[in-house]
Amino acid sequence: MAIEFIDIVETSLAGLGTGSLMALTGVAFVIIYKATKVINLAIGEMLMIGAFVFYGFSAGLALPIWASVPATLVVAALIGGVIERTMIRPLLKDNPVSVFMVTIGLTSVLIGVVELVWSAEPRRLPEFLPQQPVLLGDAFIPSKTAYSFLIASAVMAVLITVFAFWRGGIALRATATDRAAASSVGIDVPGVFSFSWMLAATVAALAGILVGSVGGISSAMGLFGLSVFVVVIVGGLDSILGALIAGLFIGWLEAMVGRFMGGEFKLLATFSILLIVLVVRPYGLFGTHEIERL
Amino acid sequence: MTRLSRRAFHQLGLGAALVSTASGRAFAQAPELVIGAANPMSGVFAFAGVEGFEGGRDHFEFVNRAGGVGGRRIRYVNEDSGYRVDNAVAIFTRITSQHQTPVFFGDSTGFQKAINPELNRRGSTVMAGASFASEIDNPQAFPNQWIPGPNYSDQFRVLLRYIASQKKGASVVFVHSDTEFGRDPIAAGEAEARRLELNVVEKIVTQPGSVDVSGDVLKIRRRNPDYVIFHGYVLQPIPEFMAQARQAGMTSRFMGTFYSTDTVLMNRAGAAADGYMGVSCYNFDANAQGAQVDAIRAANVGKTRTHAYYQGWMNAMLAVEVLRRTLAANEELNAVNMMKHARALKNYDTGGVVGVPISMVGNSFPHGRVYQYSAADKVLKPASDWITISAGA
Repeated sequence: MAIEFIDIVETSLAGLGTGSLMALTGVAFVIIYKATKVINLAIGEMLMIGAFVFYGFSAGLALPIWASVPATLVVAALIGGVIERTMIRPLLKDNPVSVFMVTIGLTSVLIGVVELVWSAEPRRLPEFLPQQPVLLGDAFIPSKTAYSFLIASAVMAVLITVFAFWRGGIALRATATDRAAASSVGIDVPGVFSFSWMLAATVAALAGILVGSVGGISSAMGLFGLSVFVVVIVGGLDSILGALIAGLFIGWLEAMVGRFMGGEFKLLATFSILLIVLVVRPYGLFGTHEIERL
Repeated sequence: MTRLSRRAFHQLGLGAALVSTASGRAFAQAPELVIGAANPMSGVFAFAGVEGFEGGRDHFEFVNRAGGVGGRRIRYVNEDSGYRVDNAVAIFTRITSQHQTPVFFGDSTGFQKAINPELNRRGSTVMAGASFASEIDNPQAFPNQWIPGPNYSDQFRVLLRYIASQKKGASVVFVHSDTEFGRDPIAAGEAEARRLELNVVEKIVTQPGSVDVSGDVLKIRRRNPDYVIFHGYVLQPIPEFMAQARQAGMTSRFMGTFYSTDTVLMNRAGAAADGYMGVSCYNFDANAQGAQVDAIRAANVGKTRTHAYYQGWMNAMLAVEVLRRTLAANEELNAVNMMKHARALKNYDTGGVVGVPISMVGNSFPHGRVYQYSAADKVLKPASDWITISAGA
């Protein structure tokens, strides 16, 4: 069957929609890495617990959406703060592998908490995004995909602006570069650590709400984090802009491969890109190239 | 005062022990029949595991109230597998080492395949469970297991025959997960569609954990097939797929196999699942007649039970029938004898649990019916008559 131009446009738009959610989650990962150099393998599960907290407020307590979203973000920030203070900070002076292992353990803890509170059964979030499909000319975009893309784009634009110009963003970059120097000029380094985890948890929770609204929620939805790791490695572990561009690209690529080659080839394409980037540019497309002098 | 010497004390104790043993033997009941199970009471499959366990439990209580099997009570020993093969294997080993266990219910295709060599080696236990995998429906490779209904390939055949009866040359899309479970009936489904002169216009494969089906909906939007059949999913992403397809103006009818059609999950999906059709081998007709459905209603006043409960009941009912026939023939309860009686089940009256008399073909019972979900009434309503897949299909 011949490939029509409108097919390519529609599939590209759908892919960008999914990619924006990957990018948003990738940004959450990058925020933590930029500030603390911690590779947080539990980012998918932080997204998941945010989605379930939202489910608890909106479906369990039947709060309106305008109350459920901010309440979820506050709870997510608290969870992020508690994780940093109790599990991450005590280990920051140790071998980075210890912290890495803790984040692996954290995935099991978060899945366990969700299954204890909400069980492992898949659920659907209450419908809160507009139901009417969006049409760009002849191109059809499912409503949730379109509105998720808009929300994720707006949040990322705010984050990029804030980190570029706000003093907090500069403090975060300074802490990432040299903790001792940052501390010597009066930056509250422990505060920056806590702030980065709280902010990342908040962003991940927002991504979880959007991902859950599109595909439903379950204790296994942390698998979404697998594609996000590809995004942050391709974009560069410490680049918010890199996460944004790589997220959109990977989302687009998966959609095009799924549409024109078949869904079974999606992961093959994604991980092929990962392999190529690791070989050619191991610090990512936009990551900092650290030169080690021996 | 007479003193009791140590020797006399021991003699008295020995005597007492002998008397008590003898009287114990005199009043001993026939030994219990232990049926083991590793059900997924927690984990992603708990929605089916809990219902399946309760279906089996209720049937065994029903049988015990009526005097048991050949005067022997049934003891149902169940442990939570969490839907993990390693857990289920450990439970199987534990229960079968503690009790003589002629029948064991497994929790998944993975476990039933993993334990099969050990099951065959022991030759003392037969198995049924939650799996409808086509691979298990093979008496040569799985001589000691049965499937409590049609395998997934036969479920596809039931759906396709229903489609063929509704519209000649209808266009169909298969949507399945990229898992062993998801791929199971696809080749057989394509062959059956060709035989019925149905037109399979697309096959969509989704990755486990994928969240956005918008690209998949776009793939079939313009084709607007008459029917879309899902397989290999537990709820997600079916409601979202249906909602987006409706938004895109598609008028297709959506269908699924056994585990994609659970009423508990359909109720969660709400209005998005309205009109969804699925295949089941069990009789959800409110007017169904029979001793077994009467017992199910009596055990569940005010409750609506669906697929997995009936599956648990059916497995238990078949196990009891097999045990009854083996004991009645005065034969040893080993796998060869029990499976001989299981395979002899022809035109067996299930007391209304299945709407037609059932026969074991291969390792399965290839009878099914298409139901349609009504979101307003929150029930599955019969959409077709009973369809039996012949052995040669």
